[in-house]
Amino acid sequence: MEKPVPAVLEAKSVVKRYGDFALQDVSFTLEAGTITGLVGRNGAGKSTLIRGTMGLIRLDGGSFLLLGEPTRPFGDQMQRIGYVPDQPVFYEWMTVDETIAFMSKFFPRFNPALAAKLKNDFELVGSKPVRALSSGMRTKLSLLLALVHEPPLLILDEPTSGLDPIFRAEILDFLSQLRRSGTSTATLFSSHIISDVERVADKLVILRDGKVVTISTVQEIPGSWAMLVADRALEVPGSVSRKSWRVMNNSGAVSCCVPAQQIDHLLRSLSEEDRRRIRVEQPTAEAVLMELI
Amino acid sequence: MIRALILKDLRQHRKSLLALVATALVLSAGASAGAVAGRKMDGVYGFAFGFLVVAAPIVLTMWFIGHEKVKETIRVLRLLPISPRTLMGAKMIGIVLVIELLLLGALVLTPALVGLVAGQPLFPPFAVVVGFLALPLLSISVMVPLFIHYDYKIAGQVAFGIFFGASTLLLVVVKQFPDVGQKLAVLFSDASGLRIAALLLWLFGLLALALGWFVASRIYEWKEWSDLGED
Repeated sequence: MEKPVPAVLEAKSVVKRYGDFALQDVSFTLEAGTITGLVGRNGAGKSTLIRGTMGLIRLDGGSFLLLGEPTRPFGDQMQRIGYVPDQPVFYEWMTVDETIAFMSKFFPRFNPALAAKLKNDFELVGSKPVRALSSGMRTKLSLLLALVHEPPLLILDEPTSGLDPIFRAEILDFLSQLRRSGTSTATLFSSHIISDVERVADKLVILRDGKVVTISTVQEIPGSWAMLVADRALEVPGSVSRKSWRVMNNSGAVSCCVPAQQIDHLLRSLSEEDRRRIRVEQPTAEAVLMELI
Repeated sequence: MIRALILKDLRQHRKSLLALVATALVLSAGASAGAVAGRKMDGVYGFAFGFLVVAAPIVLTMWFIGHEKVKETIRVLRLLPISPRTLMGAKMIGIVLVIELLLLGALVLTPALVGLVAGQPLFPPFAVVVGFLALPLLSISVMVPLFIHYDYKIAGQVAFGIFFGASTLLLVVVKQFPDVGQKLAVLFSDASGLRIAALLLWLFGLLALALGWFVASRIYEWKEWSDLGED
């Protein structure tokens, strides 16, 4: 009988409290070769969760298991994690090549051939000082450094925020290619840009106020939801307030997402006139995620 | 890893280090010229103590640690697979290396060269040189935890406060108990006394350095956790 493959990362009932914020009983798993999107508003607990994964904070409860072993503060798990922060920090006086050479000293599994390939793919000029790189190129350098020791876990903390559309597309394309290449690396991709996560992730972990609201595949998410579209925001007693509606386009049409099982009850509670103004559509994953986070 | 960290620091601050070496050379040459003329090394010892035992550890700790905090490159180091003890050890070794080389130059090389030019090379007693080399360990063991704990501006002020306080205390003790001072001077004045003093300074210096390393590592560990607020 085949032994089940252990998850690359397992969060088990993780609890972390900061003042009046708390990460509460967070559990999820990351499987090899998959990209998991971590979605939530600012302050939902995404970065706390990521820091906990890397052993940069003490947990108040629960644990993170990386390849079956618990991560701990300043443990050697960074050998097995590649990390791309939202604003990568480097030694500005070093060149790209010097930065790669410096980092290579700390990772016994550093792969120079992979570094050369990624440098070429990302069009990074080795002799260029880091201080002369644009924010997009800095993210690429950070991604290169995160990958060259071939970590089983890659963590991307809002890597596309602040990038122009071209760089954003390049980073997302690279992640898609990485997954298609049959890599065994599990990727945790945190972002509040829902369309980015939707584009590359196999699975989503949705955080709200420190709690996991949903864990689901991108395809499954819209299934249990319906989208109401109207020409103006309507008040639906007990279910939908005027604030729930979002403007869809320049025509002024508005929409809101509601759980599919509530649709009949909701439509019944509307007046005949309001019911004529509304049509029910299948929502996009992004529209549902906007509702969930 | 330690070597990579030390070389990185030396390369990063090479211009400032060159300026420090040049200043030390000029001042040391001046002190040595005075020493050659008067056949007394007091000026050289005074320069070595004031510049290399007191001031240089503050300046070097500010460059090697304070700079990492100001420029936020400490985040690069935090994400490396190295322990706080390795990191603090590398920082301390780098600072000790630079200061010991400067001290050797100031106490041995410059007086010898200046003396040679004047026709009579000057050498301090071996035990004095050995004892002097232990003194920066005491300053570094205090400076590194200070600069890891505080912002460099506060740490710099606290450092000068500590040296000023320690000097004042020493002066008061010597004034209050002149007999003790005289007895100590007699005890360590001959060759064997100097050797014992050098040995004691090294023992004390190494102990202080080990304690400073431990404290700095724990402070770094604690700071790195508590600095992270909620997202």
